[in-house]
Amino acid sequence: MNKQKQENAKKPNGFVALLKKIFVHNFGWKVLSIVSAAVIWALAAGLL
Amino acid sequence: MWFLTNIYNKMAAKPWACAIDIVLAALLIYGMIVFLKKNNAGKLIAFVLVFVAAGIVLSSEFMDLPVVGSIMRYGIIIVIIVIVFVFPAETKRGLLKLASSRDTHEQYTTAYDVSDEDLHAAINDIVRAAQNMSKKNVGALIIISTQNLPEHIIDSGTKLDAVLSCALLESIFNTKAPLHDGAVFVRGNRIVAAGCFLPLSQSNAIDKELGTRHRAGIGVSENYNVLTIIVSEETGVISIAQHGELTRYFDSQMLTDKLEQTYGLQATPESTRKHHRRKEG
Repeated sequence: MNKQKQENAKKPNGFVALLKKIFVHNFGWKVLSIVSAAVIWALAAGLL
Repeated sequence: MWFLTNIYNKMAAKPWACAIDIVLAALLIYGMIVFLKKNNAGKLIAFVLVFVAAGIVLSSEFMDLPVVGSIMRYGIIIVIIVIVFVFPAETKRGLLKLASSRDTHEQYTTAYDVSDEDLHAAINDIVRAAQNMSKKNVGALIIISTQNLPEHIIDSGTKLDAVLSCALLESIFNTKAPLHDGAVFVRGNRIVAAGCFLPLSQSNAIDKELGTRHRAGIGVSENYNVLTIIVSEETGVISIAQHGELTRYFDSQMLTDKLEQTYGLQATPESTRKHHRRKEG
């Protein structure tokens, strides 16, 4: 019960959670997506 | 040099169009990564990206291989068709979720944000629960995964998203409780779902003495990158299934070390040696 209360106290509010979701969750995959998109776009722009 | 000049010319002509193009492509790639990761097919994403990049290079004036280049360039269409045929249930569910936008923000992430202390506490609770159930001959099936299980497995049970505790695990597997007949899915220090139905292993190598609970534990570990803890209802023996292999007769120390390894925490070498001695084929 105490553990659950501590967990609830630790929960961030909505805006912080949204920011965390955008910038923190799966950060590596987001970077990989942007880098891949940039590389593919550069190849297409330079070669085609 | 002409390569860089071409890029510069395109960026100089329509800078906003270039930025939008890259952002949309990144969103598309990210969506594919999340979908494939959720269904444990993350490795496919590398093939798609390499195919597209190679296709562009091969079909360019620089290489001048139009047929091979076009095939590779449109490899992404082949991959989409494969995804639709290999994951029909997931594709249908994904499209339904797009239609009902309220559900989309509830998707599970591929990483969890838990401190080492919380993970140690969770491991301690899992080990204590397994020991208690073993002593009372209460059957249990616990799936531990650092990643996601496919949603059709989670949807087959009851979603909990509760902080893991020894008492909660024992309550779930209490034979008079409605959720006891199924698997509990644990991710980090949370119980994601309980009462989940799992695919059974079809292997003939499994000992005939082992029941459906063991077959389900092995089955899910064959198909997905998970660790399954199985407590036998008949003998109280604690077993672990991973990568389709069952290892039996775990004591609390061995179980703790195995879980610490799974969670990426430090395990003691002594108990690992013991674990190898007791491992059965």
